[in-house]
Amino acid sequence: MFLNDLKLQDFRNYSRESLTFNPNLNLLYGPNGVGKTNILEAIYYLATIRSHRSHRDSDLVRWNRSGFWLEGRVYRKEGDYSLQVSYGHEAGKKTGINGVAQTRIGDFVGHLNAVFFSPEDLQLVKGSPSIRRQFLDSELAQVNPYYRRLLPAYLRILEQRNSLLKAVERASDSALEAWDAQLVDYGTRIIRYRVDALRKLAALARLLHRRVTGGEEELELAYLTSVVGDGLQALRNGDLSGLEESFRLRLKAARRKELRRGYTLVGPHRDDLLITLNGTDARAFASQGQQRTTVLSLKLAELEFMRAETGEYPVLLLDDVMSELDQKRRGLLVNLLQGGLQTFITCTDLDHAAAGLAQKARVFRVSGGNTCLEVVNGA
Amino acid sequence: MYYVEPIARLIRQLSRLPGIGPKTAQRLAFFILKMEKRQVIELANAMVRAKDEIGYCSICCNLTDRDPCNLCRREDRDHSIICVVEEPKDVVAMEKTREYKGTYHVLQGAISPMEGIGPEEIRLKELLARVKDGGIREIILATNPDVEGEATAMYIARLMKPLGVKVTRIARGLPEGGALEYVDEVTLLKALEGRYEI
Repeated sequence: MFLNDLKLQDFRNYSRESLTFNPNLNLLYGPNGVGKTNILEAIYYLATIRSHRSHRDSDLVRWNRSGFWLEGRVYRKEGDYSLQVSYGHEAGKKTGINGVAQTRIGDFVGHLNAVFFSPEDLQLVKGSPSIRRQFLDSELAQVNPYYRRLLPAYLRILEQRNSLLKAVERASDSALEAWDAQLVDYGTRIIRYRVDALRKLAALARLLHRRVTGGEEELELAYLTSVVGDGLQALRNGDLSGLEESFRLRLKAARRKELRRGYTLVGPHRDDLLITLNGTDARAFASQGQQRTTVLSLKLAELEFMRAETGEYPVLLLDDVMSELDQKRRGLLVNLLQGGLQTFITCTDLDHAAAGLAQKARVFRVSGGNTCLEVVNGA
Repeated sequence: MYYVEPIARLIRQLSRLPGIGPKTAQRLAFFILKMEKRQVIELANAMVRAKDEIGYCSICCNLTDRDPCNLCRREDRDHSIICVVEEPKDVVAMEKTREYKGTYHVLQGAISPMEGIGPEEIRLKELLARVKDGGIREIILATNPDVEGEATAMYIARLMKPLGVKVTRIARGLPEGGALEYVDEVTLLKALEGRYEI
């Protein structure tokens, strides 16, 4: 699939902009702070109706404006779609496909798929568990419409249950049990989807990591869950049968502690992803270099996973990562970009970051100010 | 506000209503100003009278202008079956089926700890009293199929268990007369889970 064009209105620093892209490679270059990332953010928003870096849609609106509007045409194997998404401080979020408004905005997601890779992703290895959960959730949500609705419902149940736990005098057993059944039901479904996705992702990541490291490192991924045994336990694909029962028991056992703390201690919202390199926990032991290669392998695996699930490569958004990778790994990435995968790369400097790519790419110079974007090279 | 006080006041009052933002409130205010005075008085009176004359039915807790309400008075209804719903408008929806012959109980809400609504804040005590008074064969839980409605149904089911009354939950599934391909994935999945042998 590829994104043919993009129109932005009052999005971040852009008042009105219209861009036509190359189906393969697009380079955006310019100094820091002129709005290169904002273009990638807009593309990602068109794919997932959320930003990769901000939870509040109001942050994305150009200063002093009442809302923003994005439109893009995506070409897929089965046909092309015109995607519109708008957000207004008053009207909220609205989506449209080929000019037809969507009543359920969640149905919009999945028409354009995107993988975002930025220097912040290095946190994936050593950062908090929520970053790794988010990694799994965002790719699952892009390819699985059921998961897209399951996750918010689970979070709603969780929020309701936590409110009840905080109001201790009201949190009777019978009041809590009314929520527990749903927490277990939705939570177990989420874990099953995550474990299944991780199994596929792990197989891909292992192969890719061998390529990236020249066969020197074995990368393994496992799902760590809070609903089985004590603390976090690695969950292999085979033992999902007793999951609901185990979840219920753990919940019962944690009841008193939960009432003291005022929030739910057991469930997929507490789970994690275990990354091991040659059998040792990467979170504790990985060096800077190993973190970079691991994240590169994970992101490449994410691309392949989405292709396996949807039948097409998603578009790849590389935000300032070329400078983060050494010669060898950059070479590997560049190699992969030849394979009919639409890519958007931002960099501050054409020479060193985009080595050899500029001739094949459509190049945009981003300067901020009135003429924000200018096509330098019409490839 | 740039409007003179009486207009500003009207806009403020209107924007208290659910689903009415500042812009809609403005439009409504100007419409009201253009209406004939007689009509404006009718509108205002209708609001005050509704507020004065409507109360809760002492049996089913639905909104009514006389107590017990018309539905609870009817002798051709089966008073041993109670259909439990969240809002008065759900009663209207059920009545449109013309098939249901039992009575209702309107909870006037659903359990939602986030909004501080627990079992005590909805009309559950009244339901419990009705069941304890005897003569009830079945309770049909027809709360909304969202997380709050589901939790409310679950809570009532557990509450009723020791009383030995039959408790049922309305099914979730496919809309009648639709084509399978247009049904969303979640509904389809729920329908698949609720499949039955024929």
